[in-house]
Amino acid sequence: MELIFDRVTKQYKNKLAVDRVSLSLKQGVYGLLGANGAGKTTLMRMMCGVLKPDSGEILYDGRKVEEEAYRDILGYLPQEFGYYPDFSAMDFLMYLASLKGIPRKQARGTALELLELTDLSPVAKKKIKTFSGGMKQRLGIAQALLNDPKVLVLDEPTAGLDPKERVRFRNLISRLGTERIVLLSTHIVSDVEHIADVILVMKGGAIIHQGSFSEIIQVIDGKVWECTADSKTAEELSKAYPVLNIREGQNGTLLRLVCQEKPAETAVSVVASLEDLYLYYFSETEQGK
Amino acid sequence: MRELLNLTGYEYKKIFQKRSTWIALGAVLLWVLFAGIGGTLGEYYIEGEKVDSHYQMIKQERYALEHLEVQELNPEFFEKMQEDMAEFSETMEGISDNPKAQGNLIQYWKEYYKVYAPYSALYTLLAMMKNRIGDLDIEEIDGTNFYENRDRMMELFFQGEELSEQEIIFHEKENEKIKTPYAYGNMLGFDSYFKMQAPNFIFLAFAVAVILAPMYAGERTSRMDALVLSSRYGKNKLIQAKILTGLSFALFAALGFSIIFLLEIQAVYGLSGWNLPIQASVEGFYLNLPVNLLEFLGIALGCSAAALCMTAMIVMFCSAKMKTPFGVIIICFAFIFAPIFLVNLAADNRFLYMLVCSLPTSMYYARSVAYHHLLSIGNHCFYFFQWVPAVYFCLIAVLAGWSYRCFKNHQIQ
Repeated sequence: MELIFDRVTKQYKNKLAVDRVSLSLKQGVYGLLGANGAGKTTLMRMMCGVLKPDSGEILYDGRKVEEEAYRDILGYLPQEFGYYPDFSAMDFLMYLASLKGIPRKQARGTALELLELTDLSPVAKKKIKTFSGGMKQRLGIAQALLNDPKVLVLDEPTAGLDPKERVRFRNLISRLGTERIVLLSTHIVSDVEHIADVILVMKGGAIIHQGSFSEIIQVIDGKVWECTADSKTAEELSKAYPVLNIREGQNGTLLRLVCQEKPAETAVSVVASLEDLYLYYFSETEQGK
Repeated sequence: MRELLNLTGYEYKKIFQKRSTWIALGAVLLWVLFAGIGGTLGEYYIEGEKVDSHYQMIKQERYALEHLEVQELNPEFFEKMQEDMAEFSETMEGISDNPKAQGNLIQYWKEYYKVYAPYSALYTLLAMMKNRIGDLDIEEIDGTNFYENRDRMMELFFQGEELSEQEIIFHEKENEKIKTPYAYGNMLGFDSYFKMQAPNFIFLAFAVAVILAPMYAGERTSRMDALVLSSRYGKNKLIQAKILTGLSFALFAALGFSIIFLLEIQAVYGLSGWNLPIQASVEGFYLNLPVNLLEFLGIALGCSAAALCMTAMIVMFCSAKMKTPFGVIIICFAFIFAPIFLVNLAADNRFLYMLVCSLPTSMYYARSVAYHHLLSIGNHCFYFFQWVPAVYFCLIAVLAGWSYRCFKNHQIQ
């Protein structure tokens, strides 16, 4: 079980969305991190065969992703999850089961199981247009799992879920990752931190880092500091170093920042988190530097 | 095959879950119901005085035609007509001027119409003949010269329409095949059907455009495209199912509404004259096709159903190419409307005329499917109803393949 990206490139007019990405994904959970516009969704769409790369190719066990056999083992939750408003949850799953080529009888059993798993059984016969955002998202997750996919692609799957649902979902993904390739993108860094075996950091259309949490966190390990300073010093420090967090306190301004050396006398080194790494990489993008 | 039918079932489910589908179908149903009984509504007035209801007149005419003593347009029939009508010298419109009708118009009208009813439709045919020939006295037409006059009328048609020699020979041969004297009877139902077929189908074509426009474009607007295209059958069987759904929907709609309309027609006008030659009806009087009314109904209905399927395929093709159903509806409405205006503009150019007359909307007009212009290939001539459905079949196959490719290669961006 291996999914290979070989110098995959996609350009929209004058914007390079994905830039010569080469990757090899094997069994396990992969977390794709990146700011808006980093190319995550484009990469996932190409992986699902709904967008053609301009160059390069994506192969699953030597088979092209455009083939029906690949789509047969694929589960996909798009970022913008579409649905038919007048279908009930059960109808919707049965329809997608038909599209996935699952026999009717088997599909019914699987749909009921997945509705139970995603806590949608009580509303199985209700129209999707009456669902909340979180319910729709759970339905999206359910449909992605219908065919027991070998490759599961989840684009922002936790968007709209409340913390309890997110934890349930994380646990589910962790279990699923033991026997398939799972690629998920999210802005909620803690989700990736908890469940991803391998974290892929994407910026400007390229994968700039990949590895386990402990491997990629080394980039800023020992470089994250916290200190409390008066407003003038805080402003100077903000200009000098990438700031991860800033909060006004009773004794002054509490800063969390990244730098090679101790930035101030009162600064103390703290344990780096994935969020620190994310902010470290993408604060430049946000600030337009 | 089972998967294909299963997916087709879901496509139907999607169609019938939309409110717009029910509104469109409801509007067509109302129109068809009205078209069938519309002729029976209202009253007949002479000089502002109501003399009878249209329903009573139709009922009376139907009864008269179904109980004719002479059931052929032969000398005996014309003699009887002249005898019966001898006491009424005036036309229907001029009846109030008759001194006998003064102060007794309603009663006098009823007596008049009782005699006139069996010949009402024939008088329409004779008036059509006179309109074409010009210097013709309707009173002088009888069983001996009726068919000669019709031949003369057809000759004038051929000259006016600048038909080729091959076409004229073909039509003359066709004309010879029609058994004379024409059988005569109740053709009212078939005439009403042929007259209203075009408006009914044009209305239905608009409904089909509204209903099928979201077939592919709707997947984009509902953002389902990514999901369906990444599924196993999303790039093959689903597209086949959509094409099957669109074409079968058009076919079922054509047959369904036609059956409803025919049932209405049977109830109001009757369809007992099914074995009369089409030349005994208003819609078929100018034609040379040697078939009876029932056979012509089959031809006209078959052509209309094929034209509706063609319209459906064009709607689905636009839907596969365009981003929103609204754009598809606008384009398709224009496509349905256009031939109504273009047919007169193209009259001077044979090729353009043939082209416009072969468009789906033109094919809804019963008379036009067997009209005088023919497609000549070698020594063979073909009526519109013979070659146009064959062209539609090929075009549907091409557009189906094209739509298939369009949706299959649709990129989610």
